[in-house]
Amino acid sequence: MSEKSLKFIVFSLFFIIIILPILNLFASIFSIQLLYDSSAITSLVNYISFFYDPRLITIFARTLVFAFGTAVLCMCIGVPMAFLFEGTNLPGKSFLKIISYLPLLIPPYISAIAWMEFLGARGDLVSISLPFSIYNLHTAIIIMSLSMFPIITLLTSLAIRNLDSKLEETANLVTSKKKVLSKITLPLIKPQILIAGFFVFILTLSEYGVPSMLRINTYSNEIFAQFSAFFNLESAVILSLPLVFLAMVLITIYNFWLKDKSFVTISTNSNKKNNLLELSKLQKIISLVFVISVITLAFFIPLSILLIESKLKLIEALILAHNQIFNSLGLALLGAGLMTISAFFVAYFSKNSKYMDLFILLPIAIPSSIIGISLIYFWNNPCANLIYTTFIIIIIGYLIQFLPFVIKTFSPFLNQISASAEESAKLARAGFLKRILKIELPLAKQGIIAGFVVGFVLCLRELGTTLLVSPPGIQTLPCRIETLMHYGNAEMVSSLSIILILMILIPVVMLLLTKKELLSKI
Amino acid sequence: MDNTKILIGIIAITVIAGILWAAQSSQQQNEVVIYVAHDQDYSEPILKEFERETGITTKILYDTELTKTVGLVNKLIAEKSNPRADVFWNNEVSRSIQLKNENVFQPYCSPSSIDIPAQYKDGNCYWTGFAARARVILYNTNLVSEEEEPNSFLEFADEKWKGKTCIANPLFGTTGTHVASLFALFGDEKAKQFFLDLKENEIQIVSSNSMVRDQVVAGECWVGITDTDDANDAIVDKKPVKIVFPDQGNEQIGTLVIPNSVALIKGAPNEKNGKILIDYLLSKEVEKKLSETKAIQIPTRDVETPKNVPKLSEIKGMSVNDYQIFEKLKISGEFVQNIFLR
Repeated sequence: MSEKSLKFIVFSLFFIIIILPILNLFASIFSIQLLYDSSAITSLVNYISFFYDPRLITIFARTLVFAFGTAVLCMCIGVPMAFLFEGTNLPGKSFLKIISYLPLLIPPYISAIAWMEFLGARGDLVSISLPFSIYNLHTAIIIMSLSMFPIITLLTSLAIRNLDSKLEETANLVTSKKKVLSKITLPLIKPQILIAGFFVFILTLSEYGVPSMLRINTYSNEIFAQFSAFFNLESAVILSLPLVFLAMVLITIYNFWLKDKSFVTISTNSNKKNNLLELSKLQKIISLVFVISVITLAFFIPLSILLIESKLKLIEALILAHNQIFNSLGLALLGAGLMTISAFFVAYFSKNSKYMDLFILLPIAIPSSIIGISLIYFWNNPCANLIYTTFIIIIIGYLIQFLPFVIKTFSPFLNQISASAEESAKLARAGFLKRILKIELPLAKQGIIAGFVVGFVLCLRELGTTLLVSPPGIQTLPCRIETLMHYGNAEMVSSLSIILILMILIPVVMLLLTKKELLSKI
Repeated sequence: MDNTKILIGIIAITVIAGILWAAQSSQQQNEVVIYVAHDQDYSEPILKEFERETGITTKILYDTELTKTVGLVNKLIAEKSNPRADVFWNNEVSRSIQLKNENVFQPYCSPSSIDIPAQYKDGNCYWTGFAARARVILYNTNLVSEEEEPNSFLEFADEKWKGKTCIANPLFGTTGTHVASLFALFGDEKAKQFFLDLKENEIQIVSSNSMVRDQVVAGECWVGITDTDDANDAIVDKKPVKIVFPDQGNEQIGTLVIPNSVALIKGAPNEKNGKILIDYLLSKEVEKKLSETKAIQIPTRDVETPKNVPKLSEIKGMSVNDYQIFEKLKISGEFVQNIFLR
């Protein structure tokens, strides 16, 4: 297959699966109404007047503070942690690094519940009494950050690993390692750090569970209310437009900033150990206190609360929800796998395209419920039974929502590969697939790992779209946990959350124990 | 064989296996497809029993509290041009009226529903109510003595409860219906004033009715208003709380009673099986079983129930019907959104 025809197939599939259902919904709401219904213009004007509502403006501003605050705090935690893991001789860093990714396995709303239990706001099992209320924006930002910072740590760590260590080695000859870190390493991995921050910002923007539990009214609650309290799909879609616009503006600024800069650095196998910053004893202690405190707050405290709450009824929980556990794991693995393959090709073919980003990012800020409805309108017809009545529709839901995240995880890694490497291969008459397999894939493998992990975690947590498009008989774990939570079944909720963590953790630990060399690659 | 061929082979095998799996799982059998907004833990055993008794396979899709029962309602509206479900088992009525108005249901007068009181049924059999919940006051017995116990929801606006009461998000679920019922009963102006008074009295807005229960149990709120099923969870778990059915005096307004409702989907792919399932769900046996669960659903008919389950005839309900409440949902929703959710 030639490069051109593969590019055509990739873009066609991308357009049909990802873009068309959303455009179809938007078109049915705007253009068709305007064409055939004269009163629609009046109603459209009414919707637009939403944006002059001071209440809505306040909520929007608060949501921006929530999302921006979370992104900044995550970067403040995640970036130094990644540097400690990748650029220093911190003792036990390989183990700590693995542990620091674990908070990703606890959905933010479960983490919020655990904290509410701990701080005495909800349960009477484990609690400490506080002299102040925890129901405020600051708590929401802290809880979200403790749940999200591993995204930053992961992407920053992989970016540091992917750097050509020769650059650092050369700089080390003329200046101190600290200066190399701040003047060479940090500027070179800025694209990955900023993209990771952007992910956290967007995911926080659309978070519903944590703010509603902490009694913070956010913009996503407003969209949700239009959709589910007033059944007003049109205004829900219109209200989501500023979020889409915001995502586009941010990514355009990012691309503009990236344009004149060169990040061409090919990872080689030269020994990174020579470049490690030697920490003094005091620095080691301070660093360890920092890392261990964050991991304790983000993982061990919520986990301990879950363990106490669960009363270790793990077997009972496994019997109760084994179908949902396997559905979730299977769908998340399949979703992440497909997403990684498709993201690679989309990212590869759109490497030099100016406008592709706008399409890639179109779905990123659209609320999951609206994506769910657009999928129903598009795929619910007799010709598409095979898709709509089976798990395939759930996978498509994952692809629409999370493909932009995985593509954007890849892009900085792909951009780091020098064009000359591929051109040389072309001169040597290497075929397209050979070039992909022998050059791009090996050089972008850190990006591929990162993309898969990001995709897997996002799929595993997904609730909003799955709930709307799931065919009867297929239920995922988040849906089950949420239902159990409603009925105050804290034991089962906690047990299932622990099972979910163990199901990921046990294979990973076993794999790492049997093949220790893998530890250094993660 | 080089790497490229192996890669293409693996992708091809995965795609073919996926399609075969999907094709196999989409095959039609002797089945009925039901969308269920009632809690899975209590509805699932009943539907499994139905399978055993009739030999008809049930394909079930559940909702969750996070979407406040409206995930399925939105799905049913979006699917109406090509319906996939046969039956909708809703855990309340107002969204069923919404679906009737959206032309999602078709009428079906089940023979099992003959003895269900008319106030719990649609006049044209578009939906039928059964197994109800009621709105109740829940208070923390460590903080509130029996002498002080509030017996009216209207008391939540009293100075003595300032900052000590809580209610779920008034836009959603049964709380939203409760708000609309007060608009229908009092008229808009009086109802608006009541909710402004509640705001003035610093009522706490929490995310759900189950959270109201948890906050009262934890003593974060002294008094809350929630549903019988949520409140009973705390009673069964022996938490320091007590339930009060509000406004039961002669001069008082009564409390809101919210039955489950079941309906046949227009254009249902398995209409015959759908009717059999509706007949089954509306039977007295199912009402009895639902009353015996932890969620204590109150039967609409005279059925033998556990001692802790009140009879509907003993509860004074509000004198507004479901259609009057439905008419007020939009205006009441917009009002409380404006004053509480800022």
